[in-house]
Amino acid sequence: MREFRDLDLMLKLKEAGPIPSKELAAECGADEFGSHLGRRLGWMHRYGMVERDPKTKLWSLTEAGGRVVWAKKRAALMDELEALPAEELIEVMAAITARYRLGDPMTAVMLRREFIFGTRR
Amino acid sequence: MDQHYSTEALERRLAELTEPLVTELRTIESAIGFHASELETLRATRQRVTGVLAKLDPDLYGPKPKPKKTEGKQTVTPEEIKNVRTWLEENPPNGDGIWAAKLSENREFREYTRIRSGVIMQALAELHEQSFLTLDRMGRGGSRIYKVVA
Repeated sequence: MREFRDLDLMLKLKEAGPIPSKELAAECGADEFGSHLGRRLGWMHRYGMVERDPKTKLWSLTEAGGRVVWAKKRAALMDELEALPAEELIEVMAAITARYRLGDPMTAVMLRREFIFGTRR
Repeated sequence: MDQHYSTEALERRLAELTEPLVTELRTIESAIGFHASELETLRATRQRVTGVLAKLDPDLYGPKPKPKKTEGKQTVTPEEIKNVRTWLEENPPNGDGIWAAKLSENREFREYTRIRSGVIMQALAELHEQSFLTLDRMGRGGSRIYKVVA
């Protein structure tokens, strides 16, 4: 499961709609992901990305999680970022860390987890 | 006016000068000792907390995968990544998704991107990290099957 980013799982939830964790594990390619996925969803729930209906036991995106998934990347911005010299990325990073400190907690957690995911290789 | 000191007076004067420094040095050493012990406690606590986190959320806090040997290993170039991205934008894959072996067998893809077959997987992983691709599922044998993020 560690190959999946939070965003991958959130996109799957967006596509599938409310879904039991077992089915989501199968969607990810293997039933044996079940216990790992359950733990992962538990953390994502704690951070406000996903929620579980206590009656139906189905997992879905929270409102905040939905906003992240629906946010379309602005192609022009991505091109600009790509064209930036490495030194200027430090300022971009400073802006990101400022948002990390001052923004909403769920986005902050996602930023932190994306950083961990991207730098652990 | 010339001042003449006796040896005794000089020694006393020197002692007067060094005494506050010796006292300060003792204070510093005592503070170092205190902080060293505090640091040791913090390190032990960090190890314990990391251990618990690794058990609770192994995906993020578990042991890092051992770095693979990179000696002699091919590395994907930014040009190759860009070509793969452009090709995928111009030739959106069908519902099956995208995986390295499938692309490797596609002659048009190989001709367009001029990518070496050994680095297709790396290019896809890079595009995944750039959020151009999403990891859709794991295939049999552990192959990673991606989709283009809509």
